[in-house]
Amino acid sequence: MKLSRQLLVIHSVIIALLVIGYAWLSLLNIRQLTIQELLNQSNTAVHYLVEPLQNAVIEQDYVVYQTKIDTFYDSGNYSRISLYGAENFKPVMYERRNLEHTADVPGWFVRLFPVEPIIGQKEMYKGLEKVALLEVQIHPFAFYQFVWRQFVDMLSVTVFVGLVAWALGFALINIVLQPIMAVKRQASAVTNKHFPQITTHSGIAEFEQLIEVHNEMTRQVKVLFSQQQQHLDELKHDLYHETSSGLANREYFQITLSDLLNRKAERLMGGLVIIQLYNASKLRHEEGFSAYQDVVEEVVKTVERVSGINKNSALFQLNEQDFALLLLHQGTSEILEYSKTIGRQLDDCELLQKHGGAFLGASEIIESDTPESLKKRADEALRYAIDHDKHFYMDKTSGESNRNARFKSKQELLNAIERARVEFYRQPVVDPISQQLLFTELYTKLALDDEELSLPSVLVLAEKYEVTTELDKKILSELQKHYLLGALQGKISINVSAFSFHSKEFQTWLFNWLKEAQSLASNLIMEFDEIDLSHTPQAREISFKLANNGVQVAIDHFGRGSSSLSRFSDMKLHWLKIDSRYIQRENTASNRDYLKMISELVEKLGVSAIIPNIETEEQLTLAKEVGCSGVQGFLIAKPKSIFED
Amino acid sequence: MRALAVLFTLLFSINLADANQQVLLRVQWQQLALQNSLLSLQEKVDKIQGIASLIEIDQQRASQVVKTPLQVFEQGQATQAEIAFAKWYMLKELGFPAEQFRLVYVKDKQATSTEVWLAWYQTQQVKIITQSDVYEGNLEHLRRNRSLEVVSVVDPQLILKSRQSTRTASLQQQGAVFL
Repeated sequence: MKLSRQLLVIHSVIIALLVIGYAWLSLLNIRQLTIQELLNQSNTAVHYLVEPLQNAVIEQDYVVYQTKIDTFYDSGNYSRISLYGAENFKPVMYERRNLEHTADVPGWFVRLFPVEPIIGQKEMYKGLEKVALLEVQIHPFAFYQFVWRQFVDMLSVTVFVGLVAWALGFALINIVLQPIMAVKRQASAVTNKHFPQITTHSGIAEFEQLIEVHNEMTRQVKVLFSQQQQHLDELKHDLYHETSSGLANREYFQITLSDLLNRKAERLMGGLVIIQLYNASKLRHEEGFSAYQDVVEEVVKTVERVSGINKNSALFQLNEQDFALLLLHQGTSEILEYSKTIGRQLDDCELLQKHGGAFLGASEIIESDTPESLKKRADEALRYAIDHDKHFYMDKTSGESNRNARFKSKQELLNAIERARVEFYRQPVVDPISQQLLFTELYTKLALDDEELSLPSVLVLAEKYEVTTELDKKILSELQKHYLLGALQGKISINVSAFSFHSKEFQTWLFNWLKEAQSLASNLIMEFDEIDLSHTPQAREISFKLANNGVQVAIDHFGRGSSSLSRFSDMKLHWLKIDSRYIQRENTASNRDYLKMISELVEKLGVSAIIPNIETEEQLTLAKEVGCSGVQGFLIAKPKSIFED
Repeated sequence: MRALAVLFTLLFSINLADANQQVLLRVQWQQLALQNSLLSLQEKVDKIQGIASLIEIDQQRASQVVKTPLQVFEQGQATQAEIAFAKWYMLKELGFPAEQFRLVYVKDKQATSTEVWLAWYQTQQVKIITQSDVYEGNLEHLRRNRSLEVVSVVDPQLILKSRQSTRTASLQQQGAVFL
């Protein structure tokens, strides 16, 4: 039980006992006094009455003694007056009585204070001879009425006094407890590494001193603790951080990874990306330590830009050339996206490129992973990327994020692609001013056994299992069928994965296909994602080959990656779709400037800029203002299935 | 020096005599209490009369019937009423039926003086215990050579009951033992 409750209970019990005890004692006292008083009354009455009666009794003049008794009884407050004869005080010579009166007080009170009959007695003698006995009994209701009134008064007074005493006691307990509780709270806060100061004042000098001492003590503990903490932090930092970059080091990485993977209770979703700076030691020796530090800084900045560095996205420096990026609560698509973007942005670091660039190997966390198995898979992915000069490679093991994925293996996905039904949706791209149709973009929807498949999720898995070639082949073949049937007319654009061009086999298939479908090729625009394309080493060569076959090339989502036009300057490029965030975010001056600058710049390069996702009149006006060549979006026309026409 | 010693002894001799009487009364009462079971009723009454005769009668003072026998012994003098009440109390202590006794206040018309007796109302007759004697029967024996009149008859139990609080309080004040 808490101290405050104990004190309250003890205090209440003491007050209650005092009040009850005092009331009880007072009542007993009143009872005794009342009885004494009534006894005296009965004695006086009997002595007063015996004088006039004695002669009448001796002379046996019953008329006189009866009359005297009657007058006395009627004029006084007596319950009984009895006159007994001499012979053992029997028989009753005369008597008046009425014991039936009630006192008008509760029955329990009468039972609580029983009172003996109050009787005054006096004998009458003729010489030494006893002649009669007179008894006068006082009515008990007088006693009860008086004592009951006293009891009620006493009770109200004592209860009132008791309440006041209780309230005062309560206030006293509060005064005493307040500083004690404050000190207790402060002490428990100190154990939780908080150091509050007590600001309440009780006004009692001793308590004020106590609080002052405790406040001072807390201040000192705080100072000591912060010194200690700082010292510990410094030690920890030295122990777990790389001096060159300030990043957490290999030991810290090991601890973090073990800690995460040993928490079996929660399913962990995410992945590990190993970033290797190729020939880092050579770079360091040839360019100097500060150049190396600049490169490391660039890595940190890039990661910071792409995924952010926080508790769900932690960057570690394992050694001179290896970095580990631990991504938590991220699915396959995010891991792919982050890795690709980081790799792409690091390509812009000239100093790094000069010495072989950076390679990334990624792996998802799977349920039975140990720190060693996860690191091993990520290392193997990295090794694969280096060996195949791919800059980025992701391990094929399905992680927690794919637990509910539609297809659990490469073969399953291939079967699905083969069996899937393709449906095309059309959306026009028009000139913002003349509203003239420039071309129609085709969106693809896949359905398997009448069940619609989400294209982004299929695409992520296709990239992961490296089967984008099959997906693209399927889509392009379907496209050809629709074209030949006359369902598609005019200039049309379609998205193709740049990853597919990593495959020589796909390239051969594509160019053969283009040769066969000459008329379609001359009306076809192939759209490539900016980031994917930047990871394709033969991009320039392919763009020219496509152009030779009459196919125009478009870059989609320009501005999502590093937006380096120089990268695409030597490519054969026709269209450039600016990333929708520049139009969808707030209409700021910097966005407007960016859109205007890009539109003007690409026009000079002979490329037409298109702003997609136009949904409002404001956005259309902006598009007109910045001078882009084409616009596309819900405001112009919603995508429509080709079957609807 | 010798004269001084004689004077000094004389100074205390009076008080010593008083002290002797108190001790005597108390010792006699204690003896009587110890012999209680061996004595007849008549012998007990006689012994009590004997003890009472040693107490000097002081008729000038107002009666304080509340006095205990021990208080009376200590003072060595008492009124007739006080002595009669003390006698009743002693009789009660020795096992006499207390409710059968009454204090009788008697006036001598010739001598214009008052006496207080103790009347014992036995089943058949009344026994009167005066200051010095014990009579059986009625007042006629006593009236032969005196003109006596009964003024008042009081039950000593009533006195004891109604004055009990006064008695207890005064006893507590003196630190005395009732008997």
